[in-house]
Amino acid sequence: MLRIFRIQRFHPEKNPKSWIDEYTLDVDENDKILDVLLKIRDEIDTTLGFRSSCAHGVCGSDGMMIDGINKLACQTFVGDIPGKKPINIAPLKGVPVEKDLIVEMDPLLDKVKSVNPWVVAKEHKAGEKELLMSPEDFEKIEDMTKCIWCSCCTTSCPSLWSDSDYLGPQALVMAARFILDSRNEEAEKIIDKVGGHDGVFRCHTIGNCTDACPRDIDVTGAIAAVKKVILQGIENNDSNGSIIWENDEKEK
Amino acid sequence: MNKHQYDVIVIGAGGAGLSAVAAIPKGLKVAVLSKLFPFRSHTGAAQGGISAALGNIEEDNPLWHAYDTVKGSDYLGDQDAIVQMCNDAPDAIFDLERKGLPFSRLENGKISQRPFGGHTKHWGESPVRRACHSADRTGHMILHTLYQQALRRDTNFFDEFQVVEIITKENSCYGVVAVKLSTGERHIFHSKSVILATGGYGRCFKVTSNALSLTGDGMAICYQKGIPLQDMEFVQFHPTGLHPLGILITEGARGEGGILINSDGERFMERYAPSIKDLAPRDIVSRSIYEEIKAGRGIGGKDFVYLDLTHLGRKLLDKKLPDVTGFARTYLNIEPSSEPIPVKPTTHYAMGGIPTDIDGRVVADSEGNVMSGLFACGECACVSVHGANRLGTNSLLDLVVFGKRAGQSASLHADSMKMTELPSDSGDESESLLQNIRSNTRGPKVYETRNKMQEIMMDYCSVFRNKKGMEKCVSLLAELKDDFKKITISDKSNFYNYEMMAAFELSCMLDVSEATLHGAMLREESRGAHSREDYPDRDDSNWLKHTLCYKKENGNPKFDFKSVNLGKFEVKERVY
Repeated sequence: MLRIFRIQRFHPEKNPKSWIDEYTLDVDENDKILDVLLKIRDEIDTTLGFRSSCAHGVCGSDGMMIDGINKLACQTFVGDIPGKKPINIAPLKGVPVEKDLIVEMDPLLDKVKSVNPWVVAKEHKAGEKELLMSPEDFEKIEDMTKCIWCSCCTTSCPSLWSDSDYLGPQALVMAARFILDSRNEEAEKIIDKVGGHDGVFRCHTIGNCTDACPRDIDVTGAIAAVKKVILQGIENNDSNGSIIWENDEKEK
Repeated sequence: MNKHQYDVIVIGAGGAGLSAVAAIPKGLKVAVLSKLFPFRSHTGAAQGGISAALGNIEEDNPLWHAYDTVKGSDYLGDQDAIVQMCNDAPDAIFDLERKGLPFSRLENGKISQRPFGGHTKHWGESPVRRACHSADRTGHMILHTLYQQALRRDTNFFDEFQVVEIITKENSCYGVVAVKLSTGERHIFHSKSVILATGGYGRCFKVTSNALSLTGDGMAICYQKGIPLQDMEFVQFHPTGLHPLGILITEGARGEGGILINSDGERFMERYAPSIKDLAPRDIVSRSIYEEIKAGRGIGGKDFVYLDLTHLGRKLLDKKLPDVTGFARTYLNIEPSSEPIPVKPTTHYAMGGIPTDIDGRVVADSEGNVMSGLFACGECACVSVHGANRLGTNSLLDLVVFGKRAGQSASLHADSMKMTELPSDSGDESESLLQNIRSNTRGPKVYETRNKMQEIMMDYCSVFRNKKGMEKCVSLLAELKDDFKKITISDKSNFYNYEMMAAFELSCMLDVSEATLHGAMLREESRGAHSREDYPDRDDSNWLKHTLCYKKENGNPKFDFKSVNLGKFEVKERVY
């Protein structure tokens, strides 16, 4: 079947403004959007700029706005946008575009790095080989550890669109993952970094981030879990993010 | 041209490269180059686990692990390297754990382990739970944990830099030349030590589990400089790629109890490997699937079989195999808790690669002479711990253990010397290759030549091979190499020029395909993943040896041989 793809283009050396190019292709509804982009770049316009690598949703390279929603192009199918309407493809919003669908990564990565996203291991107990961790403690962080740093969440957040200093969901999910890791000696340092003006309390629980996450992480819940840790102290935190989120809802 | 100087540079930032980085002392000046962002590397796609004889659930022993690996390699793996890897494995796991890797846990808080293909207790008696894992996203956790720790060390990353040449003169390496993707600028990275950790080359084949980026770059740039490639005929085809896309479904699915069935509903692996059945090594399972298909017992008479997980229940699938069951839902619209998953073999892993010793030093000939200052680790290297067939989970172990060793020896090397002067012709070769590509005006496009190469390699050089087919493939591949000389790109800009990058990657893929195909032609026996229909038996008297493939300027590559390190485990018939 024939479908129209309207792709936002931007080549600053040719034109200071972005424009739309339209391509009509014979496609199958089971074709991935990434397949379509690769076909266009191979056969029609080799200057089309976009990132890709694993092509099955685990590397996070090809986050973009497809039909108005942030998605991975390799996880989205032509048939996901029903009917015959043109399929709009644009870069992630809220960060500077470099070329076509390629956005600047540094502003996104700098925020993630700023929360100290790593474990500083506690000392071993005598006789222990690994740092023991209960299955319950593992489950507290498991959801957040799935994050592939695709930035679909952060670039869908209206709070971030209006204030680019806000750390945003991607950095805060990482903060949550490392604050709640029972093995981390330096969780308090992260709490200090995300409790301030540009941190978790900027989140207005709009939930775009959770909807956008291609890994189905409860992003808003993770941010809520950090809020709760800050308000109640880390030692009183006995449940994972999603359960706390329900509590927060009730409190409202 | 931009110039940089470092003590050590690391090319590739997947599990191997980042393990090397973690082993480099802080006093040394280090840079890491990746053609992607490090956290996009393909280590992140590894699923099922990383093996170590921790014995957290049942008795286990590093020597059993070594025995299984030697047997799995069909006796082509070097036994000293294998014993080293399996002995180092438990500490490597504890080290990852202390770096923050979130392993799945047992009730007692220890790391969870599960069975995997070819891993047994008591010298092959029955499957053993040896694979440490984080649900079915173990590689993702390794990659991200190592990257997080690299950030903690404030490592110097050069992201989206494509390395196009290693700078060598006589028997020494002086650095690399790289192109910055966003600007097209060429950069020289002058260094005392270079560590190659660039991954495999699954994209030479039409159906693969590999990322688009896996084009054999590191191997090809060595091959270009006269360094041989070892055992390239051994390419692993993973038995359970999602049909028809080739996306990987972890062997861990069979580790958790999944079974393969044919069109009669028969659990056919019981016939091919009576003792460990569906948990036989990958080469055996892939061949068995094709035997079933050849006998007309593919599903609906077609070229795939079923992986049945329905008896495991939704709860277990969600907990232990969430990602792969998600792939079946996303890409095939199949619910694995109630429907079987169509699977067929998919190109997965290169056992061969850049020859190294046990400390990651690149060995440039059959005499054991090293290329001073050049190191390699991970899939691009051939130590060789996988021999003719790799066991599942051993690739992640390989890259952690030998990444660390390569990092250590590259550091010692850098510490022991002063920076030497760059050769005057540094970068000339890649400059002329890229110039030619840019100036060609009438010739085939990159994708045309690439697609043809992927098709012929899949048709004639995959699970089963024979002389007649490969002879045809040799002449077709030679034509494609001729075509490449005229390859034409229409994007002449320097700004994120993906077409130029794809052309360079194609030149790499044509080189490593050549080494693979000619190695497969030469090796007139069947061993591990290399199955010759015209030579169905293993031939230890003539072929219990490594091949070394050297590029020749014109005509077919030249071969030399290297003996296998034996002595710890007796070479026997391989039955399961």
